[in-house]
Amino acid sequence: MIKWPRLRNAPIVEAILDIRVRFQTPPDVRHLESFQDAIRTRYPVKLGRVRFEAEVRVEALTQSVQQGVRRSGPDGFMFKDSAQKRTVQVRSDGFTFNWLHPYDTWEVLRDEAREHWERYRETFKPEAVIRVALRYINRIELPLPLNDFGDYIKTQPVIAPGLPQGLQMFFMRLEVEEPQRGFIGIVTETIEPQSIGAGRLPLIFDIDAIRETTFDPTDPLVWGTLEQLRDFKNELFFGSITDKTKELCS
Amino acid sequence: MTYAVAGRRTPLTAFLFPERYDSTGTELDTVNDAGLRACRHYFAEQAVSRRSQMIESAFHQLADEWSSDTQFESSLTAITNHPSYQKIISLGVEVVPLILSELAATPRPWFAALREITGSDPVQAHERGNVVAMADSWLRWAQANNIRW
Repeated sequence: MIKWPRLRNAPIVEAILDIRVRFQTPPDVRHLESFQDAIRTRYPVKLGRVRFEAEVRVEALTQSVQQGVRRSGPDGFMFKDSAQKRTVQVRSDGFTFNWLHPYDTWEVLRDEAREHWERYRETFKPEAVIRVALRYINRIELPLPLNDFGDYIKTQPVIAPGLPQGLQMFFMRLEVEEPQRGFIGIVTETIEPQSIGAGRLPLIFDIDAIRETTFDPTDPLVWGTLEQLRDFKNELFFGSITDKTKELCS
Repeated sequence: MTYAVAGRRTPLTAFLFPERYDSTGTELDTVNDAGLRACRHYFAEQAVSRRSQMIESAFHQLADEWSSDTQFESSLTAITNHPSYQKIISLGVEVVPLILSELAATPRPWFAALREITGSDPVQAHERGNVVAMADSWLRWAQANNIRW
């Protein structure tokens, strides 16, 4: 097992452990709601989930970009702790465990997620797991003035030498394939322009490590794969940040 | 407009739907698909922090449309039947704190939406018709139910 450095001020805004499933007959919404009975003391807040999908559409004639949210009906529940920092999501297409800042450790997140997953699996009996993913949304506050993003982050948009280097804005999305383990890493980086001005430049560094395959829901490989995805996510993270960024987060 | 692109056949759909064709092939679809893919992933609803941003953004867009379209409307039925108002209701309980925040700032007829979403009605009979008193009732109800806005 790889020993990853532990950052004292880890810049994690949200950690998401997500397991998608397939049912022969999906559980109805009322059945999903009953999941809370076993976790009510820890997760007293219940929110019905409505399925949304962000959409963006390029209109050729008007040359405009339309954004919106498409709704497609209730699909489950979110159960939150009273501080609303932890969320257990149970849906007819899967299970998600979310941690908002502050982060604890992978082991604590994994163990609690597994406890909820085992309950989800035993209660609703999915036919198969079809996708597992681990997503960490980081927000790294870079001190200004900033001469070069490269001082802090190695996976970044590169402008050819000799060209103006000043970046007004960027949004970068990379889908990295790791064929040996069958993983996909989606790395998204952007800056939050509305936050500039406080002497810090917030860099959003979002890493989603995904394995799309079919597992038997009882197979320990589900958790073995999540463990490997955590390594992959850390490879992408620690391989992308510089020592200066590590210092910022220590 | 020219469709003369060497070595590439113009798809029939380009003639049937010329607005989808930009003379060089499928760039629009590529941009559209890439944008949609990026947007859907970035705002994936499984991420709680992003989901709340998405709902907040949708709510404000719909609330602005509703306010703008109904500012001179006197019929309460027309106001609450407005499509944007109904879409806000369909967003569910997650918009309740956002509605309360709007209500606290400027009392407007958000009451039907709150009733519909929460299944509650804290407004007393003698308060009906008095928008300020009705808003106060809802804000007190929210405090009593530990709902922050």
